[in-house]
Amino acid sequence: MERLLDEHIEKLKKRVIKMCSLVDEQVQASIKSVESEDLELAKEVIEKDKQVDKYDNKIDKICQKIFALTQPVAMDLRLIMSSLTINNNLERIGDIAVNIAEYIIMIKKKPAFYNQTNLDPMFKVVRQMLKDAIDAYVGGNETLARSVIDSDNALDKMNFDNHKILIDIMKQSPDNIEPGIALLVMSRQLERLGDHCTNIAEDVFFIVEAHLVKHKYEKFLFADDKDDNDD
Amino acid sequence: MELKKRKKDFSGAIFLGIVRLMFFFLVFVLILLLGKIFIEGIGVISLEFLIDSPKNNMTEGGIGPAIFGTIAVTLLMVIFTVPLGVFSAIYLNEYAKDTFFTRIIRTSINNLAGVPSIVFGLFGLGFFILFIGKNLDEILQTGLLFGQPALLWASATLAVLVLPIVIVSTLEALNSVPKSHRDASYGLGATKWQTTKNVVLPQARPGILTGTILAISRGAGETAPILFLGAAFFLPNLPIADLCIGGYCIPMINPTEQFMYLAYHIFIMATQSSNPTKTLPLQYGSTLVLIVLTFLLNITAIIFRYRFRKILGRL
Amino acid sequence: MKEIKIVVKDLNLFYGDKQALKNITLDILAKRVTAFIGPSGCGKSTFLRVLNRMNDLIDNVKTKGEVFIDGVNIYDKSLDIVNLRKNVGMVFQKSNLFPKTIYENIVYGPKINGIRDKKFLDEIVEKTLNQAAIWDEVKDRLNENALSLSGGQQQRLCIARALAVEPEIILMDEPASALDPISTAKIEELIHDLKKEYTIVIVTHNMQQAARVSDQTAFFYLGELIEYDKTTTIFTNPGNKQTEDYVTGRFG
Repeated sequence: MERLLDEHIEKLKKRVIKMCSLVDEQVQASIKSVESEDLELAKEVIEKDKQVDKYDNKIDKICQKIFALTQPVAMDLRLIMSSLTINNNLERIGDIAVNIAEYIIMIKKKPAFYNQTNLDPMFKVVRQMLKDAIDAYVGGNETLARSVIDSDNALDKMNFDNHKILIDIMKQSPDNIEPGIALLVMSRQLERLGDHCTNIAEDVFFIVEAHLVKHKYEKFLFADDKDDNDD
Repeated sequence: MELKKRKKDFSGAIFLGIVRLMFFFLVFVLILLLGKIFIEGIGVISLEFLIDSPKNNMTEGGIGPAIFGTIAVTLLMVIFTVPLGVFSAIYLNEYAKDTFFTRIIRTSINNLAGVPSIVFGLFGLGFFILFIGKNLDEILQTGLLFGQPALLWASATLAVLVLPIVIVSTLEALNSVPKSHRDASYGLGATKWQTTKNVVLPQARPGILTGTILAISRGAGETAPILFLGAAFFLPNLPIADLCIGGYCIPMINPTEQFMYLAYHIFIMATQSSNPTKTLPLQYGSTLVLIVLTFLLNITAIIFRYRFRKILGRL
Repeated sequence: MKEIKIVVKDLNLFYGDKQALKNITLDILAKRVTAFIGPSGCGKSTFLRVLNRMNDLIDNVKTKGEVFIDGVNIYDKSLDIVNLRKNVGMVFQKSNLFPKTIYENIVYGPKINGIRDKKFLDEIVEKTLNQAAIWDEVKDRLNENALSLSGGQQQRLCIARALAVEPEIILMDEPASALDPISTAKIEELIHDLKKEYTIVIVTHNMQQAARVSDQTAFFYLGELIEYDKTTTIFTNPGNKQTEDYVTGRFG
């Protein structure tokens, strides 16, 4: 039976997907602006953030409307709740893209020691994680979601290594400090971006199986659901 | 939870006992009454009894004319009373506003039911025969046709007598039609008359028929009112006249004639016959016939009522 | 630009000495669903019946003020009430089908209006039963007693019966309150479909139903119109504290 709620849910899904692709474009553009030292591109990323905010509001509004006007339960309820959290995560990812763009504008070009850092490999990993997280959410694909969660460890390690590398570089000369800090911040932002992708992937489990997986992923992998019965 | 043993319900048992006693008493009386009539009367019943005229000062013969007269009077009474009663009830229930005046009317109708039937007889004599009949004769120059006791006036008087029954039954029937059905009809753009005709009346038919049944039963059994309204001790001929149109003549009931009446006939057999011993079985027979006749008239109406109820899906 | 179908100005209604409706002013939009909500006795059903003058059938009722439908004041003394009720149909709380066949129930309205052609009547029956989403269920049983249907089916039949006289506005007084949840959902879906062609006004004591089904919502309390706005606004951010207390279930 076609329900009145289905119209609203279709609208919501469309908006979330649009938000996903917007933010994905932002991250791609932001990374490219660093790799190609394209300052114009970076400025565009900063401009486009307004659109991301707009969609953030739109999604919040429609979720509020659905809660107020219909009484979603079970699967519908989980879908809408997760739409709100994914929206949140995407918006933060958008902000991260903007931050990275701002820093490349600040330092204007990649410093000489750029290739000594893990930034390029981190970019690669992050691009993949974001793509996979979005695909996993849209497709309800738990396997893909699991691989995203797994990738986060590698990313964290790369960030940790970057700290050491960059501190050593900055100790070598005061001229290295400004670009060094910029790269350090970028590294941290990329690590945060990875965390947000992980959050999105965890939501996939919530929608599909109604397990509150966040913060308990490891336990979920190996144990029973005894813990999930507490409200 | 503690489950207690059942206590004896004394007052309940006593009540049940009394009710049962009353019921059996009722059945007993009914059996006694109807049984006696049946036993004493059945011996007299025969085709001749039902068709022949009484002979030899009511000591022999049959009750044919009386049967005929009863049916004729009752039929005419129904024709008078049902339209009058039903339309009055429709007006009171559907059209009239609830005012002091209408409340007086309703009370009067109810009180009318309690008036002794002899009073109706006097009313019939004074109003129908001496007033309307006499004046009709003067206007139409028919001599002494309408101004005397006749079938017509007897039926009219009985019609007035049973009117409260018909009106009250119809009012009940109209009231039993839920207001929501009327609302539905108005909501679809119907006028009051359309609603009454298409929605209310069809549903009220069973109740109206009940009223008719009760009216017939009452009317057929009345003796006092018709005493001076046309019931005859003995008539050689049936009150029939030929209605001739062109060359064809149809025998029809002549409402200006007098008639014999079963209830009255029983009365005179019991009080004015020359030989009570001989007429006693005839009295029982006549009573039996009267009861059966009333019963048959009722059955017909009941069958119609059953059919209407079925259509309404109320069965 | 939204079209306005009904304009109500300063409507006051008295049952004898008691005032049941006080200074109601609002506009009902065309081809939308407008819901009237409020606690028991707040006057919402009474106000609904103002719109097709059904209150005229009750003794002692005085209605003051103006109600314009498509620009015509329906309380004008010269107005043909019978024609008004053809154009403003009504569905009641409990199904009040006549104890006749399904076919006869539907054609009652058209017949009252003088339509006799059997072929045309048959078409009306099929069309309205389809509109009410019940044709498939009853098409082989048109000559059965209408009261043999289930509660939900009877209500849909009442809606079909109302549609048969081709109204432009349909008033519904708590149409689903006596039905089970599945039947209620079917009725709500039906309302959603019908609003493409008809202007619908629905009284309901079930707030969630008003939220699901309507575009505009009016909140009544003790005979007064407290707030009237888009349904989304009433249920996400009502302007009036009383409204908010009511929709959050704090009273009523």
